[in-house]
Amino acid sequence: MTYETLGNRNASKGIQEIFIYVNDVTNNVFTPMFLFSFFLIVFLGSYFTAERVRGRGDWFISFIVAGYTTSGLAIILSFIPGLIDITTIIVTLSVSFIGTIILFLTKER
Amino acid sequence: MENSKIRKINLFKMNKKGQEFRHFIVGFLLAGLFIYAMLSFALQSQTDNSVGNKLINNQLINRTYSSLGGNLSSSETLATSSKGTFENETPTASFGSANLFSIKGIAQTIITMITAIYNVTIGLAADVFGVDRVVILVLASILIFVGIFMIWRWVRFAD
Repeated sequence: MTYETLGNRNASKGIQEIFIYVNDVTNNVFTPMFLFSFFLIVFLGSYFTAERVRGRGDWFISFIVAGYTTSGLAIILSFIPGLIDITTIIVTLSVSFIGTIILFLTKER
Repeated sequence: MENSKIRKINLFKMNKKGQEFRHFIVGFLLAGLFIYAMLSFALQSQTDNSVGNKLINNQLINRTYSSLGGNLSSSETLATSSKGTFENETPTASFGSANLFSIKGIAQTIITMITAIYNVTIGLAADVFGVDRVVILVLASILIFVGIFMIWRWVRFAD
């Protein structure tokens, strides 16, 4: 199987063309993986930062924060045509919704 | 041994002080409102930026958004009718207290509101992640039982 080369795309239109190209040649796997990486970085980063600064981290709060930021990023990425599919956005929003319910229904927070 | 004893005491204290009914209702309604706000933000920002393939065109999101909006809007109507029922009832004297039977109807209304918001929000997550319907129904039944026990405690102890 031969892959399409970047030369067929007009990369001078902006860096988003390169992202769309990578997403296309990976059969729409690139963007979900990118968002998942972003989620993990924010999730673990916020937990260990809280642990270092306050001496105690909270896995739930880190999960909720990561869910919100990933949803925001997914919505922004949806402005670029062809970069992200609707299912991926719905998955990120669903993670945020679960986080919201946890946030509002646990008294300790 | 000692640690497990402390843990049991802490759990008992948590249950005793923990989630009262008021917090449960307000939490659920605010969670519903927050989720609705997030969906509104996503849909509106896509409209403002002229996105071709909009989220609102997706059947799942469209259904969730309209159902959630409907449930949250009807919560005000239900609260007003509950207020009317409560105001119209004359308390009957009881030993050391006054009985108000309209509380039962109000509690039923609250449970209906909470269940509706739960079904819409968790239903979306379940559809997306492919969770079996049975799991969602079991969780919903647990939620309803918790609601019933909280109502009983609320009516019995006014807590």
